[in-house]
Amino acid sequence: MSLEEYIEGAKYCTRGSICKWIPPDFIESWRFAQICPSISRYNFHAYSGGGRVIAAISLAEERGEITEELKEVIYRCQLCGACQVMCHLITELVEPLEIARELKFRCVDEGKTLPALDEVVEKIRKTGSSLGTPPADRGKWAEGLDLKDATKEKVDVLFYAGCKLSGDESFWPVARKAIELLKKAGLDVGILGQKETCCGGRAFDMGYKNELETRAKALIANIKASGAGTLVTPCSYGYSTFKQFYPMIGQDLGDVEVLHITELLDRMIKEGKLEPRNEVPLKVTYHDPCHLGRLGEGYERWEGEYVRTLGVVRVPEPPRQIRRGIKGVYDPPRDVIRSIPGIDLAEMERRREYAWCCGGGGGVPEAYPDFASWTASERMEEARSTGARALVTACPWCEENLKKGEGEKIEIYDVIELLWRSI
Amino acid sequence: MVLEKDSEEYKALQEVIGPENISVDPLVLDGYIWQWTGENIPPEIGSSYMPFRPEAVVLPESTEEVQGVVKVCNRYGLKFKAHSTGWIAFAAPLTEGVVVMDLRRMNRILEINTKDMYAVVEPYVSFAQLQAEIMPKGLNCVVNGAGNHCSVLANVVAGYGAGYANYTMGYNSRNILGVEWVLPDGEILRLGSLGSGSGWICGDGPGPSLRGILRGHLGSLGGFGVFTKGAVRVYHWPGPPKLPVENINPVEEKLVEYPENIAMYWLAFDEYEKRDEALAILGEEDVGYAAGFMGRGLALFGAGDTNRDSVDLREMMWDGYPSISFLILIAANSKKEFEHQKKVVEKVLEETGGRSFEVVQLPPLKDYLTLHLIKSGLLSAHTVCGKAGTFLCTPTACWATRRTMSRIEKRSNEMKKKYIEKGLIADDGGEGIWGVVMDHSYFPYIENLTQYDPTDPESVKAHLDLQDEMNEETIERLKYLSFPSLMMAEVGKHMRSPMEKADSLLCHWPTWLRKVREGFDTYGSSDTTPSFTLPIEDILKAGKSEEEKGKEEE
Repeated sequence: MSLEEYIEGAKYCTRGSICKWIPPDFIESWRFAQICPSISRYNFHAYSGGGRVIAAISLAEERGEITEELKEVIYRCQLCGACQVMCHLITELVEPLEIARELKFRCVDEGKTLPALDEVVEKIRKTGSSLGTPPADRGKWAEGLDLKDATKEKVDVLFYAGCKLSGDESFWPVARKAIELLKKAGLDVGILGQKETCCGGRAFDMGYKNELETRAKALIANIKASGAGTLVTPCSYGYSTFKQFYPMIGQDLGDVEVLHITELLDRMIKEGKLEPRNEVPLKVTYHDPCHLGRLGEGYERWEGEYVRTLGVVRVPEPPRQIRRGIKGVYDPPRDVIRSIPGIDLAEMERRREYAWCCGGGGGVPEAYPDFASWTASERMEEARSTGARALVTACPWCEENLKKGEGEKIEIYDVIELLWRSI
Repeated sequence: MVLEKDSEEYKALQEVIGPENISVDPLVLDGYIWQWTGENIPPEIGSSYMPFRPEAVVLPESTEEVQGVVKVCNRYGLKFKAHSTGWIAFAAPLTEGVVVMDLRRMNRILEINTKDMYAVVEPYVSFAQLQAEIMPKGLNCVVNGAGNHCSVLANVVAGYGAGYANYTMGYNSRNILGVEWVLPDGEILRLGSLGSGSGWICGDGPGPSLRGILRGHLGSLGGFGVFTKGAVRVYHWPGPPKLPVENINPVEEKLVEYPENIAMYWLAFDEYEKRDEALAILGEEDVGYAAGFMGRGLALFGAGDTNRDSVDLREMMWDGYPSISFLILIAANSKKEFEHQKKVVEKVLEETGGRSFEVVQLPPLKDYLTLHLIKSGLLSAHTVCGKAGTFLCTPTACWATRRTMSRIEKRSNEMKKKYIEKGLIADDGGEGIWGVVMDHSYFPYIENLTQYDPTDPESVKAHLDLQDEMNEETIERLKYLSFPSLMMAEVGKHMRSPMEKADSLLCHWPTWLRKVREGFDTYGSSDTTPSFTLPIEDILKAGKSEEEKGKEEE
């Protein structure tokens, strides 16, 4: 859909500002009641989901244009999807997240881009990695693991490391531990090695719409060629791209089952194929990555129209998915953590569908590092307020950005690392 | 006109609040004029943009900054308007030359006094935030019906104030104590005991008491200086310190544990007179903690998870839902008191021939309705914002005695049907009543929520015609008209005559209030229009091109 196509629904925004808060009945304190990093940091209504919707209507009605200030408004958004969850609790007619992304697409179409993001996309185009990792080095992280090359032999489970885990050496231990766990569970695992390329999800959220399609076609072809029945990834951004973005643009992984690593590990534990035995005496809290949680629910393409019934009540024909994030992945990572002896899991006030974003999405860390670290600082303060000594998450992008948070430091782990310690 | 960045006015404002906290970007400013119900306002019926784009929007962080902005406005002949959580057409400027003060950064709870039972808040504290902090201390407040994501201070000092807990805690105009107020001339006035340095505890002194002027019955809707801090009265909460909930969907919210000594009833009757009698007895017996009305059509629209579900429920469950009813929540301090209150409810039902509508005791209805009566969460917005697109109340905000209220309810249900038959508004069977009862049942407040399509001029016009018809009816038959009802119809239809009639019915209250407020606003800089009447000519002119305006002047 285009921005113009979203405008019809946008006009049903009642400017209730519900997009700014976590579900009000779930608010536990004054301090952690807000849900949107952008409006919380910059305050003008335009920085909220509803404000972006209004700006989009104004653009469509030619009441103004994308100025330098509005460009900042548009790009200072992680596209974390919190506004959409909240908006859809009261209406199914408005799509604030899609509109916020469409505004970025429009910036790109008009050549109103940000150099820092152009640079990322240029790296993807040149190397197939958002970090600029040369193709020859893409599988380097797995050296010595005796992993199958899925481009040459058939595997049951294809492990997609993603740009961060494969390109940032500091994350290689996480990827390697993930493989060790999967192997220990007796799974037949392989990787694409040099043929693994960027999924395109982060470029999509930076406004480079066409980049997603280019990346999707190349990657899907390689995934399908591997013959694997299951695609598993420890990267939540990648997971969300497969589950959400690819169907959104009509790209199809066919019968390949897409799992986040925490879903597969949880399944292995529950089937008795992995048994956490070693005690890890630690009080931890869990951060829901947006792209695994609220943006981790599958996307159902819809082609239809809203028809009027009972006078002017608008009903979709055929029925349409309402994306509230309710079907995201929330319990598997928690169940994995709880399966570890000695672990005490304390929840943060903002969790599951209404978790506060880490700050690491939508090109914000690249373009506005101060805003990214501010968002992380907010989350780390919330984590500390639980009394936890460590924060656990399930996405390398979250982990990286949360480490930028200011204040007293607590450890940050991936779920994989904790489970590995226990097995 | 939007301020130029190199203008003196802009530079002066920037000096007061800092460069990060001012915007004159046209589309940033549009965020303050796209407002709920704006589609009723000319020049363009069916577009939610209000007619006057502000000159600038500023984000003050303190009383001193508010005062600084007001003084700059007065110096340069600008007007100003305070805006907290918004959510009403009148939150937008209603004249040209206005600087909007978005009070988002003034968002602190300054004090919770458990002994004297009040909380001091800044304008951008929401009811949900306040409840989260005071309930663990055994306290609660009246949450307005619009929802607990709205501003506490705006509700208690500047607009309306109806919520389910009015039943035991009174209308919110009575729940404001000490107030810090930046007057339209930029001076700070501290009201009630605060004005004599005696703290926040009393709204009426020792110290100046101007509660009637600053607040009155309806409130100034952001158009009378800026209220920067206020103490709101909080009351005893007999329930648990926290009410943990699961499932974010408003119609699936589940209490992790249903609290002890709390019960929720939906009481149904065959006749309005019997309902009124039951309400009167329960109030007199001091039974219940919160109470309100939810019409059958409204409840069924709200019960659906999706629009499709709502339509199905409306069609399938209509005959099973009560038409004449009210909701009441019991929240007792002890098991003994709880049992007593339940017995009284049973006895009252016996005496009045009423019955308990047991369907609502099933999950998830029991949990989400209980939460709704305590917290006023998203159920209201879920019910009325997304079905047809928007809603307004016909009549808008109606305070009356029990008997008058029932007559208005009946007539409004009937009057909606003509528009429903034409397919121009949502078919709730006419029964879109929402309301509360104040002061142990003595003074009900109702609205008949009419859902219409804000993007369809025919639907908007139908809503306005209904509003107008309802106003005429209430004036002629009931000799009563609520001021907000009148304003909406007047604006939409560009009429003046109902205002004159209503002014007389309201003992010339709007006229007198205007005179009093003019005395406070010596520079004429506070955008006071929503409090009195709306500048119809200016609004119509705002929709015309410069060429058209020129021709008219010639």
